[in-house]
Amino acid sequence: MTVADAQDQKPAPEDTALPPPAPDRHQAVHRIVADQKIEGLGIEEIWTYRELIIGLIHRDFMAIKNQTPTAWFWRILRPTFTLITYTILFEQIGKVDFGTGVPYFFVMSAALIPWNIFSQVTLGAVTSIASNSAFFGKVYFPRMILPVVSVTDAVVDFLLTTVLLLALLFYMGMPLTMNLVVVPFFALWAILLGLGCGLWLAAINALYREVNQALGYVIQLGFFFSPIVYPSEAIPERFRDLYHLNPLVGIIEGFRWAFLQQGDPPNLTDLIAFGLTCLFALSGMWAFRRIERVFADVI
Amino acid sequence: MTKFAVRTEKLGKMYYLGALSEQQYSGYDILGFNLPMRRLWPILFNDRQLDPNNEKAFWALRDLDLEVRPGELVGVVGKNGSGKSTLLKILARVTEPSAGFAEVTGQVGSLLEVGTGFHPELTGRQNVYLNGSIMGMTSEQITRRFDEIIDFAEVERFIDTPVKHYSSGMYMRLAFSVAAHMECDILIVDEVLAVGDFQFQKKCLARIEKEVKSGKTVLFVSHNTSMIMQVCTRCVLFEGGRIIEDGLPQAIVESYISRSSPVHFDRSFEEDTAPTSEEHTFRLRAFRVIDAEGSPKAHFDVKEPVIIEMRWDILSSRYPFDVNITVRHESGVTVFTSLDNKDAPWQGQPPKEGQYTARCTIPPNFLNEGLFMVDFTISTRVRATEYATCPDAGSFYVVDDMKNEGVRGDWNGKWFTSVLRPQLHWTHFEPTMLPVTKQST
Repeated sequence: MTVADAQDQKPAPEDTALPPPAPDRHQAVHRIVADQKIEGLGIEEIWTYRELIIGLIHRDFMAIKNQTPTAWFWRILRPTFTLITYTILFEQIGKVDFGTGVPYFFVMSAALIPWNIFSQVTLGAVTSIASNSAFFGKVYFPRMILPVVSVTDAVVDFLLTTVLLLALLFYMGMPLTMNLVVVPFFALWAILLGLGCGLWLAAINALYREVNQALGYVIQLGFFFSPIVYPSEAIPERFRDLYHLNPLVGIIEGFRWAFLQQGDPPNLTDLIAFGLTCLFALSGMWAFRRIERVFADVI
Repeated sequence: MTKFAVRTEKLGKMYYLGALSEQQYSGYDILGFNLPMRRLWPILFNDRQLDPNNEKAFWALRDLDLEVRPGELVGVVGKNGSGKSTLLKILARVTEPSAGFAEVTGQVGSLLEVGTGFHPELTGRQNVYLNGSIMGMTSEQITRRFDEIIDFAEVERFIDTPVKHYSSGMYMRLAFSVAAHMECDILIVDEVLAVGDFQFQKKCLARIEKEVKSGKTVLFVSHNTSMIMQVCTRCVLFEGGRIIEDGLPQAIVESYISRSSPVHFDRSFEEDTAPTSEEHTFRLRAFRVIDAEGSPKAHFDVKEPVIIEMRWDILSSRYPFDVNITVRHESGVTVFTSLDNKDAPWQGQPPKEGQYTARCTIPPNFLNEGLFMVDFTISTRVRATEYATCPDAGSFYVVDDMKNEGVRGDWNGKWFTSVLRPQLHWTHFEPTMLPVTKQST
């Protein structure tokens, strides 16, 4: 009995005539050539895959939404625990003093929020490549979509912790001012910085596997090179300009200004630094696009 | 309208053997030290120069010229590492060729490994949309075919259940169904039908055949040669990164099988390596495929008998025994098993020690054309563990000289695809002398 016979005997629903192929697709001949030069950043191509991006973001959202209550509990507990640990460690034992009269706990959380955005986006970008490698040998799409989509998780955490912090500030009777309008700008800045680092690292990681090993350590180092557990005034005056080259310093001070009205309001320097971060993120895209084409061969 | 669906010219793909860190790009050495950026730099600045003379260079695919016309269903066979998957990867654009070029007309779709891209927390419906968009479908296209996809996968009732609760069968059916309903012009099926029950495999094959009828081109990689013979209209055989044969599936599959396991028609076993039973009661010694004159050969005409000759040693007169042969077709179908019990002179008694020979005759006009393999086994019914066996002890071809004799009669064309071609008796009745049948009154 041939396959055709089997179908005659039991007409399945898919037996209905297929729609004629769309005429516009048929003519296009795609040429795959050796040693093709790569130009540009591929933004146009990513745009044609926007439905996939939306689909993947939707997937991440649904996956978070469908999580058990326990998972939600951990999502909130994790940053809270970190905060409590650092508060005890640096305020009670280390006697770090910001000298502002604001409880250390709040000074810390205002800094931890952008830091978490940055580190989550960076790590997420690198792991998104490793964890989706099953696609690489099978189906083509711009791989850059994966790191971009991995931002979702960080954004969810950002919104969650921000709401919690605001509620806590309100409960403690701290003033909430119009300064808060700059929060989205600084959050975006942190995301772009994380993406820039993440794209570079993910790309290089494909060629140099050592990156993955060093990554956790480097991120930890970044944590202590940013004014999270100590005020930036603790850095000696003559190193302060050098210290401000770290974009995280600007981002964290911006968050502190927005939530706690501490320090100076954002100024032109911040805008310039933001512009530079944008350029850095673009350079990450540039590098990633050139390296992504060997992913299937090396991962 | 172009005349080809896929065309490649001098297509090649080179890899460097060995660890990635040992890959060499010339021009990034200083005093014999490789600069750390020697891997990064050439890729970032489009300056990759593969060195084919490097001793570690390995061509997974080389000088491949292939043209596939629209609507062809091409089976791709070859050993592992012969370049099949590399070709498909290049066509799917997941890896780049190192030499030559390929052209594809229209959109290429790959049948993903089952469940790739499925998220366990999402419902069937959400996964269909997600998986579809990974494969390049728009949500509008998916919506249009959604009911078809669900019907085909037979999961209507569970479509809004997270797929982590699916049985593995449902999971797999849904995954295949999404891929099979992709709107593409060239479909790549790389060894994904191995899973799934027989019914569903059949349904998948039917689906693929239907897609081909509607104008799709399919490249079908499988180690299941019977599937290839069943559905493909053409077959190519890969070896060492090149296509070495291209033609009708039947012929190519035969050639593939005979290349991978050479035809043995005259075989003897050395005493120390011969298949021997656990308690050293039986030992196989020789196996031959011979014709009526007694001379061993590989090719038999459909009209002549095939004689299987076996020789074995009885090392101790302990158990009564049975000799049997199992004949299998190249497609994997077991044609028959034959047991010597009715004709054996010892009739259930333990025989004396010594060397025995037996012949089994497969009658003429019985097997159809093709390659047949024979397993040779001696066993006893007294102890289940006491047997000596040699799978694929020998093999032979049955061929047809197309003369109008035997079963063929005056039929001139190619005979039909089946494992057997037996001589059967037909009785006809003239209109005036109908056979007596019971009439209902």
